[in-house]
Amino acid sequence: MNIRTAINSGTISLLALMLAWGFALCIPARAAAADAPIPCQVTSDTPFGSEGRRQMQLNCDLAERGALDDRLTIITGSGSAGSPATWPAVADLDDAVWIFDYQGNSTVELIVTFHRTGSALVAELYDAQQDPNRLNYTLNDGEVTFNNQLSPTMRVTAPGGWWTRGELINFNLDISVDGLLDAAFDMRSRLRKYVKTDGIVDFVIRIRDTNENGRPDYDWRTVNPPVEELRALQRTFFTVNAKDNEAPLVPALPWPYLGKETYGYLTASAHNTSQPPIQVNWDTGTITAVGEFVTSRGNDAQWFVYSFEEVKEGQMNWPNFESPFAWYDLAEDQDRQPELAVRLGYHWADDVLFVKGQYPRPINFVRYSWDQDNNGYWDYKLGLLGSHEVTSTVAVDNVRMGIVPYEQLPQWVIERSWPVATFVAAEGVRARGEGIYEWDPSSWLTEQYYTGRSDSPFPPPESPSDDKRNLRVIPAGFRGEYQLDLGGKLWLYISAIDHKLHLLRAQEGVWNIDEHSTMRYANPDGDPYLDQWRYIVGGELQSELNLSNGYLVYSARDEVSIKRVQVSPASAQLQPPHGHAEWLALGEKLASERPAFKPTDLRAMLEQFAGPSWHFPNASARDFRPDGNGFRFVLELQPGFHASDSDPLNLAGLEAGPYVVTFDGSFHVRPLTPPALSLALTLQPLEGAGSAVNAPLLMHAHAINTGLEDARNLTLVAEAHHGEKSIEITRQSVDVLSQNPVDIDLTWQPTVAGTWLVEVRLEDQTGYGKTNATLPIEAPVSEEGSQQTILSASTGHGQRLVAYLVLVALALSAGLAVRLNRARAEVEAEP
Amino acid sequence: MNKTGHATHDHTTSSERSELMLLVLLAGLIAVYMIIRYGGHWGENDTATFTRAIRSVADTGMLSPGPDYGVYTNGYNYSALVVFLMNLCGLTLADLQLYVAPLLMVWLVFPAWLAYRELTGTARGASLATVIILTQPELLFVLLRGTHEKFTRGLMLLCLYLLMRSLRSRQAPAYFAGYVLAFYLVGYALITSNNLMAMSFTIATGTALGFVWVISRRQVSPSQSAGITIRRLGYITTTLSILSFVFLFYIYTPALGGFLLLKTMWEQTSSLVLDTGTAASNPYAVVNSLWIHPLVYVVLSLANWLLLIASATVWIVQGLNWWRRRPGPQTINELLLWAYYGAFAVQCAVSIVVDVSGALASNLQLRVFPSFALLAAPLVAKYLVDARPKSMRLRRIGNAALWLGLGVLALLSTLKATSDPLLSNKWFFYTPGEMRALDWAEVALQQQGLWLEYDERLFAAERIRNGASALDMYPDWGEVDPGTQDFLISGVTHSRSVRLAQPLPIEADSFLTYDNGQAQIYHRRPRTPYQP
Repeated sequence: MNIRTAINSGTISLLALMLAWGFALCIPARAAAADAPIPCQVTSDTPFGSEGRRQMQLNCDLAERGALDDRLTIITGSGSAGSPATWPAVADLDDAVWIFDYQGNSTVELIVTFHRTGSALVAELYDAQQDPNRLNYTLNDGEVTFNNQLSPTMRVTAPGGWWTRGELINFNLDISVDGLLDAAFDMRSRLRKYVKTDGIVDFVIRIRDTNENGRPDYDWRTVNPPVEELRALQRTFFTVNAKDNEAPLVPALPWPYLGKETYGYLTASAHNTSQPPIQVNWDTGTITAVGEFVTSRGNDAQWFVYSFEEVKEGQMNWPNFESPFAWYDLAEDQDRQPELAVRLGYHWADDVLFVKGQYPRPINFVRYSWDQDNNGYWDYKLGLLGSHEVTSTVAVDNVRMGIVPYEQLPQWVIERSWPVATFVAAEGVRARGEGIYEWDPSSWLTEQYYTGRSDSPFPPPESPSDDKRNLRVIPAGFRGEYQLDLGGKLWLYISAIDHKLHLLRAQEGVWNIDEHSTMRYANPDGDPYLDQWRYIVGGELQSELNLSNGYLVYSARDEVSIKRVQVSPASAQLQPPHGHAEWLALGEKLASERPAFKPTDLRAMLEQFAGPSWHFPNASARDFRPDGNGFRFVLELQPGFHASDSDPLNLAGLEAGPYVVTFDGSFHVRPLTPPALSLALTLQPLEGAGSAVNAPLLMHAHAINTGLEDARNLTLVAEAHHGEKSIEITRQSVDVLSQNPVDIDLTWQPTVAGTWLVEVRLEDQTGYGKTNATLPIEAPVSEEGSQQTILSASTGHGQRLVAYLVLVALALSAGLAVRLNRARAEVEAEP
Repeated sequence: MNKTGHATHDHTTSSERSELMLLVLLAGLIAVYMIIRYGGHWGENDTATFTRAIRSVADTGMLSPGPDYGVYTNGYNYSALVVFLMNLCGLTLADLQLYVAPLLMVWLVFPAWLAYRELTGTARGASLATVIILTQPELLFVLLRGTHEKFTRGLMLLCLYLLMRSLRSRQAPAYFAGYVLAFYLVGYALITSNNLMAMSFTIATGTALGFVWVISRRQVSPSQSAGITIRRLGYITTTLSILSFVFLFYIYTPALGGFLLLKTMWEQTSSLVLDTGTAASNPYAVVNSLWIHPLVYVVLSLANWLLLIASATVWIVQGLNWWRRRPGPQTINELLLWAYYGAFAVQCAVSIVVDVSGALASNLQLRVFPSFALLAAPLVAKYLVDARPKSMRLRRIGNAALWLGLGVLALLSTLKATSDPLLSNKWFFYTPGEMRALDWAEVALQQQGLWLEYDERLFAAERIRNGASALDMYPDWGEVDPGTQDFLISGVTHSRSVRLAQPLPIEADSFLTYDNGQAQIYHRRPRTPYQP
């Protein structure tokens, strides 16, 4: 392509873009209903029946394949003779029958009957459902009679008595659906076993346009689930356009709601025009979807409620599950591309859908995602867990729901305390959809840990993993941080070290850069800021940076640098954006903080600060951790190392080898000594308790490491032995840090009487026992299990004798009855 | 009739009366033993379930109060009856279920004796058969509980009695019409008591029809009464099926709901034929864990085994004789007894196959066996009455063995039916201290989980004791629910833990939050910020 061509094509593209944009802006609020884009040609127009009806044959292009191969037969209502027979003027939508024969093969795919009931207009749709004989019919004096007994798959009612008025489309519709269609989110697959066209309404859909401007305001769907799935399926799908800016519908047929298969149930993409929601697969003759009239996702000013509890008119409703899921135009650019999506999941206290109704507080689970650079992709998200009761009420027409109002939802989230928070940044991926799904609070975290049912926030290894929500891993391109005991409002900060946005008070984090390389973040001193960065490639630590007590300590494979710095860990602290101004402010702050160095270059992070520094080549550091009021780490001096002048560590003169460096206001260096572990086990006396069979005992294990090297990744194993019998009491991970005793309580019950020997030991990762301790325990025979005790407990002393007497008496009376019986037999047998 | 004849007749009538009184006394003593053994401090799961169903009817005044209430989905008869008795006697629901319900089993003696007199042909056979069924532990167990079964079984026997009487009264149209009308009234009462057991009886009637037809076809000169009986059985099967259908689909729709919940046609068909409504999985291995020793189970169940073996032998021999056209059935009653026994034996056999396969339920045998025993008892009794060894010595030994044996069996069966804790690992009793601890927990641990032991013992007891009022906490038993932080530990729990060799679920550092001397409540020490 030469330059001129490129300029020309660029100009044309630009012009086309401008035209398209201008067209989009100029689309009138009232869509062009009458200008049906599907081409049709009237081929015949004949009187039909005795009541002035007409039968018209048209050739059409229903699936827009470029040829008028499809046949449409329209039988108009009585008294329509004399009307012009041109398309689309022939369209009679008051009293008519439309018969669609796709590809003109004499097999009917769809029949729509239009009639008036009272003041309302009704359209009934019958589809072939892949059965060429299903719609066999007979025409009698203008009336269609089906040869099979059929129920309409859909019945659309316009209570106002009109479908279109000029260009204006009526969006006040009541729709009932009888059959397996995409008529509610994700319901088709779930209802597959239960639903068919059988005369029972499966979906009820109400569309409302309160100001009748041709843009629907809300779309309310109710699923009538089968009895078996009454509790397991969502029943209400309620979508509201908050700014009356629904994309206008471009009809395909004079009846504007009907068209070919397009977007299915929903489209998440921003769109400036809408397509007909009632979609037909013309190949199979099946109505496959009643798509959203009000888009739930492809716009920037809407909210929806998906609830297991059915929402009903004329009563106060308390929806559960997603209530609401709301979308916002933070950029205020009205581009239909949201910059904020807030998903508030809610279960009220004792909701049977949450841990079988056995949680006495409400539960909120929040996904708060925003697009900071307004490029159509999500950049950050917060995942939250809390127990805030929703007390506000929202009314939509005559429907009242106990949910947080759309306008208040972001503020509602920001101003509350959240016990559990995750923060995720999309660093190298383009996140789309309903927000950033990664690290939403997992079901284990929510249902087990947060409810107190489990001691551990992590599921046991044998549990099925949910990678997107497992806090141990995060997909490539995402950076995640979390705090499981936040207990406060949400604050973010921009780190002065790496200049990235972080969660204040995060306990740790990980950035999966590209599956091969990872940056791990930690907060060893428990202050509000992350202060350890570890860059790992291929599973091997490449470099590490720690900030503690005004020092930055950098280490790589063969160098260590220490720099005294005067720096606040955060260059800015702010709340997540919940409005246009906050969104702009955060964007500006992030832009001004953008670093010049690579985000994995920890040395550059060190060097960005001024201050006295000391560099130690041929050395490495490890096991950095807080120690008292300072910190400590292990320094490995390799042959050839040398210290710089004025080295505060005074390394000059030391031989190569490992040393422990501690800082408590000044540096101290001591040769490293290996872990020296010892273990003691004692029985903790409990008031009123003694050792007995099935009586819980409390034992106390005390481990200490007198060496200078930390002993990490050990396993404490406790076992009870009785003869050949051996019972494992516990097996748990433990670190025994240098000079930091560890105390562990153990609880156990002897299961049989006799002498037991309880043993505890510390094993390394290979299972090698590092040290152990034993404790003999005598468990006497329990009186609790004796027959005398059971008899006493089960019978009152005064009743015991009586009970025995009754038992004997009943045996005697049985025997006596039989004896009498046999005696009578002898008497009767006498001659 | 001569003077000797009068004397014999008087003696017989007096002896019959004495036997009947002894039978009532025996049933009454069994019920009294149940009450005294635990001093009214007992509870059991099905009784608790019925207590809840009765509470729903009593509170709403409706037989089918709606989905928000607990109802017994298979029939309303027992619930309605207990509500009537509550109002008539001014007793509480708990008192009725704990003290009156066991005593109500006494009524079964009358329909049983009447039916057995028809089936065996003699009053002596009736008395002996009634003693035999009162020594059947599986039957006693269901009769002693506060559930529908004492009436369901009794109504079934009453149906058999009325059927026999109607067959005998064909020559007296007024009596005949009365018996037929009474039969269908009692049949409908049976359906309202438990529609699944009623269907089981209906199917058994249909099967018995088949047996009668087969035997009558083998006879050289089939009697006219056999044909009439076959027609009657056909009418009965059809009419009861229609009544069941109407009941299921129109009169008591909760029964339909429960029926539809069975997912497969196989389950639905099986439940109709075999009278069950629940699905579980636990075939017979459970025996080993329910008793302190398998031998104890065998000894306590001796009456079951003896009846099973004796009745099967009699039935097979009788059937083979009739098949070989040796002297056929002497009376139509004899043939009907044989046919009904065979019909319930078929159900029992199928239920054992289903149990072992685990396809539908694990305890079908327990449900079908009492019905089977009700027909096995007269079969054996009739044989014993008819059998008359010529040797006087042999007769005396036989008679002594019989009355001694049945006396011992009555004792053993009562111990089994009351699940005596000295022998059984399934305990029904509780101590007052345990209930006081529960009372405290209902106030102090609202909307919290409370562990109540290794099975539903305390929950069932509490539900009966408080008349099935709703508990404002989450009762937990068996394997500890992860959400449970509080544990009720009593002396009985300690005893049970030793008996079952199950550790107590508390840790040594748990907080003791309640103690009344007999029972304690412990709270697990929290390990995370989110544990209470």
